[in-house]
Amino acid sequence: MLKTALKGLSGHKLRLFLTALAIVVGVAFVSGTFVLTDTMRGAFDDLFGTLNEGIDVTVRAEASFTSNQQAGGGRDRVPESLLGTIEAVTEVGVAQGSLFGYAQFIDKDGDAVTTGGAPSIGVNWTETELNISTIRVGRGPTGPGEVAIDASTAENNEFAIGDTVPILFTGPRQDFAVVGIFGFDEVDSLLGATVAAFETTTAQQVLDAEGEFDSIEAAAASGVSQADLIAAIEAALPAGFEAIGQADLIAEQNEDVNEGFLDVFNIILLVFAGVAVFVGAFIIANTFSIIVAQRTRELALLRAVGATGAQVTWMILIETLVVAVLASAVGIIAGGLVALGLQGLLSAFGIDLPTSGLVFKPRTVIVGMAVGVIVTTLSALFPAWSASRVPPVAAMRDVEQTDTLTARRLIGGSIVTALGLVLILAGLFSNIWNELAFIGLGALILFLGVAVLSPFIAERMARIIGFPARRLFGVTGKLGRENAARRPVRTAATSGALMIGLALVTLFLILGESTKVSVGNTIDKAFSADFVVSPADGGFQPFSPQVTRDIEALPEIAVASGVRQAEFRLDGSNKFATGVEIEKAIQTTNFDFVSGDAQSLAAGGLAIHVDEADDKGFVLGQTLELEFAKTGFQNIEVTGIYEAEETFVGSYVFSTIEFDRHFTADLEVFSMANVAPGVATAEARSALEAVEVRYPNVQILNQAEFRAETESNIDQLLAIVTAMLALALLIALLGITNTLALSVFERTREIGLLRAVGMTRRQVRIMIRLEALIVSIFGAVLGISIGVVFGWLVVQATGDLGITDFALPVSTLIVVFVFAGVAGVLAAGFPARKAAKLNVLNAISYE
Amino acid sequence: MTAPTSAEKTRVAARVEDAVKIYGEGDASVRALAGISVGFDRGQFTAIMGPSGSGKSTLLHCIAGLDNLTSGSAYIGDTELGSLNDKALTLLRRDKVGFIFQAFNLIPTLNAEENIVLPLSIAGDKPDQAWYDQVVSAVGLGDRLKHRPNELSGGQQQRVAAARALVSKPEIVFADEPSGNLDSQTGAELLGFMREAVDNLDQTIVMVTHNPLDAAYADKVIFLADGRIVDDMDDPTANKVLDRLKTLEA
Repeated sequence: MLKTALKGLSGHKLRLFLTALAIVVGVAFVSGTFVLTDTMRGAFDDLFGTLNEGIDVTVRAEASFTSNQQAGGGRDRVPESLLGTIEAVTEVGVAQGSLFGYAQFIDKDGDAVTTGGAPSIGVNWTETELNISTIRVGRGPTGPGEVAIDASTAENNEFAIGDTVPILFTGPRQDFAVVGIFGFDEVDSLLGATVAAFETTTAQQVLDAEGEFDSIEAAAASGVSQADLIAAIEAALPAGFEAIGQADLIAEQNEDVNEGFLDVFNIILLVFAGVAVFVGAFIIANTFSIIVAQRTRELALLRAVGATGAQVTWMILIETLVVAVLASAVGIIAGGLVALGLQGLLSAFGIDLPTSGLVFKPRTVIVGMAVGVIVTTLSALFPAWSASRVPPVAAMRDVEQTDTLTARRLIGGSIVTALGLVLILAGLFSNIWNELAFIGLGALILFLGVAVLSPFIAERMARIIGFPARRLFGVTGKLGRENAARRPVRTAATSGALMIGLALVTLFLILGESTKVSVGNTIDKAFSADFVVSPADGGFQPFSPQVTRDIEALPEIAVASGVRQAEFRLDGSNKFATGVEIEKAIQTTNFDFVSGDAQSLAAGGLAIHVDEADDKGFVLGQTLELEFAKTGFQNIEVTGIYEAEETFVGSYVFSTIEFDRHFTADLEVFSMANVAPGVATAEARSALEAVEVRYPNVQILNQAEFRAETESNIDQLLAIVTAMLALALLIALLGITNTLALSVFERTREIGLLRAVGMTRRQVRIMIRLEALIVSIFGAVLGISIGVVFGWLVVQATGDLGITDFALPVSTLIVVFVFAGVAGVLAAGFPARKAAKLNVLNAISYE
Repeated sequence: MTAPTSAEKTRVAARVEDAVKIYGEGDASVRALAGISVGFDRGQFTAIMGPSGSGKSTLLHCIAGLDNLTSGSAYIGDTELGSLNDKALTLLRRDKVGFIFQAFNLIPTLNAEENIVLPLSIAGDKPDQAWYDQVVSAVGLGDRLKHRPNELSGGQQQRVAAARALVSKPEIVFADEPSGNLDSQTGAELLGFMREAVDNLDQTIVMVTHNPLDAAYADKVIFLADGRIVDDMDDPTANKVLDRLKTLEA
């Protein structure tokens, strides 16, 4: 039987290839996701290893918890004097104080040097053996006005020794002379971050850390164990500081990166990969059932000569398994290309990810193989089973295959669809422990249900959609239409794959559009400010509060109010705190206090958004126990409850006095400014443009511009998501090619007859393409409809997340619809050409 | 057989001259047609007979423009087929030739009526209503015209095929074992219909068959053996044909 199975495979190379392709693409996405994240993880591991080379112990201020935030969520600094204390410990061989802060270069065109997500950092330069950097050209900075630059930044911006480079800090911008260029062992860059190194005293001035370090690193004297070193240092440390072994520190840093960023990134990519695999499963199942149907005679012959039903099933399953293993292997390897492609895609959208050589872990191979084999086998299970039901007498019969739509299909499909819908609704509208899992699983089941049910409408829909084809192309159109309608199960399965892809694309388009409209409305409602200052180019790098101070100092500006952000904990979960100077903020933002007011907030305590307060049962005057990284557990009084749009001011607002007490965050995420009375807006704008020149890391926009900017950021995110879903669409189109190729094969005689009685090759091609067009439009109609319903439901359910208005991107959806049709016609290119090239004589005598 | 005169040419609906068809190459090559010249007169019903492998189907395919000759020439009317490209051949089949195959004559997704007018609809033409009515009434399908092929009996299907072959008023109709899948009763009905088409509708039919009873419906029988024409017979009867076949196969 094994031999027969293998022969069956090699006898049908084309279908084998097409089936395998669907598996390859799905598995490649899964494998590529793992390769990419493993590669990034490896890069981070290398980095942390490099950063901690030679260091045994790090001394730092104690913190209640470690915030994942890049800047300012963290701990307090340590006094410079502590370095002396540690150096005095006899077990310490060498020690250095380290500083780390915000420093952003300005390039030769006067633009801020952006990093695509990596931080712009300033550090102090030490000449100890603990310094991880090594000078490549020039020397280390030794005095004020001198800077050394990492090799990557120097190269990208053509900074050379002797150049004068302007640098932005939290304080005023300053010019420095480049005296050295350094690398990190052989590596040029710290994962894309730009690094400016200053002599220690200068660093303390520009990084706003007079007399302080962020941490102190120490290496043991020779012959001293790490444990002894830690014990000795801890004995010498005053209260409020801790000594941590380097292995623990690396583990902590890795955990931050892995749990905070890479895991989330991995999960997001895996979701997309899962969509691709799910769509692929449709194609595989469809292909195998068509193949089994086409081999009815062959299978019946096997049965007639004595093979049992089980043997026939096994034969099909063995064929499946061989295809699955081979295709998965190819897919796993192709995953490397996918990883590179994803990286390219993300970097095209301005997100540069750190990588070294591609990392293939055994886990990637195992998971890729398991996904490929399991999904393929499951998909082939039903076709394999139905193969065992082929009666031996079918070998003698020659009847046209038809799809029968049973009541069992109707009932089963309805139950599955309903189950999916219930899960989705439960996930969306009830307080279930894991909403996303419910919605995801519900969507999966719903898609399956719809695919089971859609054959019931496939025939009628194909006729309706194909109506114009009959009108435009006469009998050619009629035949294309009838071919799409004649096998409703096949048509439904083929269009089902497209349906899933398009439903998701539609969902995201609607969410994007609705978010844009909602955010736009919020901006209009919440912003009473004339101008908004935000990071340049839609970036996320917070900027110096000096920008806001400089703006406020302009005579054309009445008031400017900056907004800071930091993390704290409430009842064990992380929350974002917004820090504002409330007296100024109320002039630029409509806070709409429900109870309490700006004065009471200015004096201390925190204000909570009315929805959050209602949700948690917080009331004015109540004292809450909050946990801060810097100050630990603190009791803070609720001094205000406001109604302002959460999207911009967040749910927890602190005024400066309270914010500075508990957070180290000193950079602003955005700020707002009002024009002074009697000053023309144009006049204010030209004054602000001068500020933009001085601080190229910010952009100053009026309300309309800010709205447009925000919308374009959402569009960009949407573009990434759509690009990811494009892979699922590609697989779906592959499915159309596959089904049509198999259908053409099945209808060889019919096409031969048409050619014999006078149909031209061109007409044959048109006939096949029209069939593809009808099938893909059917998929598009179903997919877009489901997507619109999904979108509407999600918008209804997520009103509290800021998506309040349902908006239908009609023109984009029309584009998607047209795209689906065009892509379907293109997908039919190969089968159409194959059909047109059939040799008439062979075709009509084909058995 | 001598070369036809120009007067004969206009009488002839289709013909081949020195037709040679060789399948395969070298030692494995098979000479299916070994230099045949024959013409089929307008308004005549000709049967081609011969043992299996005699080349009768090959001859039919080559005259009908479904296959090409290795050497020699084939004509439909005055058109030489060898000089035509695929498109021109296709249009020629569509406009000038009718086909009746042994099986799979009909498109399953079209009903009987649509199948009958298929060559015309492919061309984007409307049938000549009077002619269409005549053909359809001769088919005798009655109220089953709107039925799909799978709702028709084998005999009905073949009669629909015959009607389709006639509907575009072709120069010539080629039939390849048209009754091969039918029982003798329905086979006889089909052949009777074809006979009527020649007598009453003035059509030209060339039919390949191995059944002497079918051949008896023809005006003339051509006998093939080993790729050559070995004999012909006017006004055949089943018994005369059978006797002749016996000597051929002996």
